[in-house]
Amino acid sequence: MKGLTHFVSGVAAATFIPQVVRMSAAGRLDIPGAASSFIIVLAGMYGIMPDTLDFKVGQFFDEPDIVVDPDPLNPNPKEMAQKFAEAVSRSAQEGRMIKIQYMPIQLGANRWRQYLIIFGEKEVSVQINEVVSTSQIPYPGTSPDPEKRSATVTLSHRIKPTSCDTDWLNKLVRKIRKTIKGGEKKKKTVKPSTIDILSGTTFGLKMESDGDIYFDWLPWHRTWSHSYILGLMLAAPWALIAYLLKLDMWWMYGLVAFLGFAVHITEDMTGHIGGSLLWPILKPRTEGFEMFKASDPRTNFSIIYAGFILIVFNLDRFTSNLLTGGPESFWSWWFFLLVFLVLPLAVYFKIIARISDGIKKREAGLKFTREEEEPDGTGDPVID
Amino acid sequence: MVYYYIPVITFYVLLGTLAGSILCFIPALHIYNVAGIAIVAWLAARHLVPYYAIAPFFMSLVVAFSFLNTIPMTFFNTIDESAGATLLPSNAMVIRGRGAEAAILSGFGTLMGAFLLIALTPFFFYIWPYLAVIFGGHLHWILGLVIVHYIMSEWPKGAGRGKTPLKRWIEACRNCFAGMLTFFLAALFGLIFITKPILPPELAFQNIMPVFVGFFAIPSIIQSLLSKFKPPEQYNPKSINADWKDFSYGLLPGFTGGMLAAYLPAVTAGIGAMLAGHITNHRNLDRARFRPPEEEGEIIHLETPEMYYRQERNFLIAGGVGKILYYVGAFLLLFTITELTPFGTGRGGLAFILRPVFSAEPGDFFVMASTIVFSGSISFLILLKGSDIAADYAPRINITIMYTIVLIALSAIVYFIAGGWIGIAIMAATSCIGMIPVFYNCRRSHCMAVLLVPIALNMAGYGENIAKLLGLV
Repeated sequence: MKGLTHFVSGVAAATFIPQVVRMSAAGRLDIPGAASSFIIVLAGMYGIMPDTLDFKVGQFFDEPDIVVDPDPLNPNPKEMAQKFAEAVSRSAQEGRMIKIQYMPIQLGANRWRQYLIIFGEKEVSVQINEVVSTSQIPYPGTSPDPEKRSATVTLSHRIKPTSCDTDWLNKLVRKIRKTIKGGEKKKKTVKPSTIDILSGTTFGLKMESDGDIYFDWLPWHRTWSHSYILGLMLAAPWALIAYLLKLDMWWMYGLVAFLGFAVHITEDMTGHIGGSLLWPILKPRTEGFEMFKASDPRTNFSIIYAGFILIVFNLDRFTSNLLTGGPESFWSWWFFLLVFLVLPLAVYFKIIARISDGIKKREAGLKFTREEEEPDGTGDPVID
Repeated sequence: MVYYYIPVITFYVLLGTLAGSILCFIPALHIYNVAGIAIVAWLAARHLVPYYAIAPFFMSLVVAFSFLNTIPMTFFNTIDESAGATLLPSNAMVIRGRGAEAAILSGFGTLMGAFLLIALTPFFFYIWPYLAVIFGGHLHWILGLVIVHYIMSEWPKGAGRGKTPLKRWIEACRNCFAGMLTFFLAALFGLIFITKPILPPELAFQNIMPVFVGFFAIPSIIQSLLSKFKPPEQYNPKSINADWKDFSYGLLPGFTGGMLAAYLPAVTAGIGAMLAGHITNHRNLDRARFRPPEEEGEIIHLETPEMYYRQERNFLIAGGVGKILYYVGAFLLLFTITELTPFGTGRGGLAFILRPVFSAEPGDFFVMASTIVFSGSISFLILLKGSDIAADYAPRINITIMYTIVLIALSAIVYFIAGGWIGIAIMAATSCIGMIPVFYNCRRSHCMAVLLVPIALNMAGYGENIAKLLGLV
């Protein structure tokens, strides 16, 4: 999910703790325990922390074995595809994961040369596309010469999108996923990847016990940073600081920070990539439950909206008691949630369903495949 | 209301609209600097302006400003902080000779925002006061959240090239480091400035002017001078390339960003738009697709959905909506007088500036709503004509001379209105901080830490302790 979704979710989760809300209320208010605390900020900060660690730190310290940095003036698709083939061969020979990083081709402040990497079972093609803006809109008339546009190279081994060498946790997740979603279609080929703006992308290639190469997209993402254990380790210093400052309920600071972190990791498990939940005890990345696409605007918007309403709900019932009638008033809670949460979301999904139907109708008969999913946390390109 | 008030108010609304239309052409000036200038003018002639016309006059000034500052921003690349949200698409359109279209699209958004403000009247009176009271005791940590999200959500803009991991990290995250430095310096400046105001008390309402001019106006002008940007030949459109879908898609982000900026202290339209963009972006509903080749070896076409192309238009429309909700809405909320909010919920510099000389009363809201419609309609018509004129003249203006004159004019305004050489010194110091985002391509709104951090700390009651810690008191 998007960074802001995790951020709001973390804050909303923290507001379910009455003491946290009361501590956070301004000291001038007539609320028992009001201390003008910034404790809730920790929930937001830690709600976005796992992706911050990945995208601002982890990806640059994860050394690729092969870097493909195309010539901006004369990108050579043949060479770019050959590098991938070399990575596949090396992974088979060396028996370890080989990481190959494809860099973006930046031509100006708002101009990027887009290229596609298309994977077959035993071949890879690189295709150079038009120049695009930072909003990923192509500039007309910028496609390269047809003879310099694409190249295909045969691979020494087959590549596959799903791993067969899994640990107990991954097996458990797959079992639960099968129970939730029913039977699953076996993914045969790796989805194409588009590389254009900001940073590039990295693929991990690893020979598995069946003799095929497992294709791991963004091998540095959602690994050590998406672990409940790391969350505990990073949250603990806040409890210690609060203890040393002799703050009331010092342990709550650590708890709120951990809550934000844990909500993020748990939400990410609803997606496709999952996370290394028990790193460093269990290092491999566990697949997600594949319930939602991380970049799906419906999921992100509805969670952010629900988070906002729940924050209002909790602030009111623990401090001001204006709308929800206080903790004793059972019916007013339900009324509030029905009017402000359920009904607006129902209307929203109705509108979105109509828009989606229109898109589906347009797509019908065109046999399109979707683009590779965006990595979580990066968000849409925001112009600022 | 006594009926003879109506022509008098109408006169002052027209006067305010005219003043706003003229003042907005002082490039890169923030609306509250403009309001400050207007206050100085009003103080000199206050016996001429009746008390009941003060609020309509200033409201129409802000309304006209929010419509018409689109023109200098679009054609001359002169932005205040809040315009950052709409800068890039309008710039791109000016480069393609479509500046007038960009200005009109943004103007349509602003007009839609004006009518939205009126349509939201029941919301302002029956729901908003509850939200204002519920959040009222929690604003310090909400601002804390805005600060944290703002810093943490700036992603690396470099690709991460370098021989060692450390070099890759530094290369990629340069903009993030520069952003944090800007934020820290602006926050520190804000803490010093608010604890120890340098300007004399009689200039208190202009206290922030040299700071804002330094943080936002001067760097914009220097950037424009360095870039030697010159608008190419522009054409005058007979129609605009937008349909009802564009306007409906632009409404939600505009409303969200505008209301965030209107309510949260020190959160400007730029920050509001950034947050709203994260919340409401639905582009991925219609993601890019691959069209499989019909014959082997054929190019695989990447289909860019229409929703991608809409972004430019949506951005401008949403920016227009958000701008008026921020500039005008923040002031209008001063008039939402209810049992829960007897003093209204107005925010922003204008409400702050006017508070000593004016207090809102029940019923004023509808005078203000009428002012918005009247002044907004006139301003929109001026915008339509103004865009055409600007499109004709922009390519012929010597930008270097224009910016040099503006630079001198701004320095003169700061010198004469905001504290003489002390004001100039403040402007120079903040200009240095404001130049960091220009050179390192980080968010310009980091400079808003000058208000965000001190306000959040003061709201929580820690301002004095921090000031003691810094040795300021």
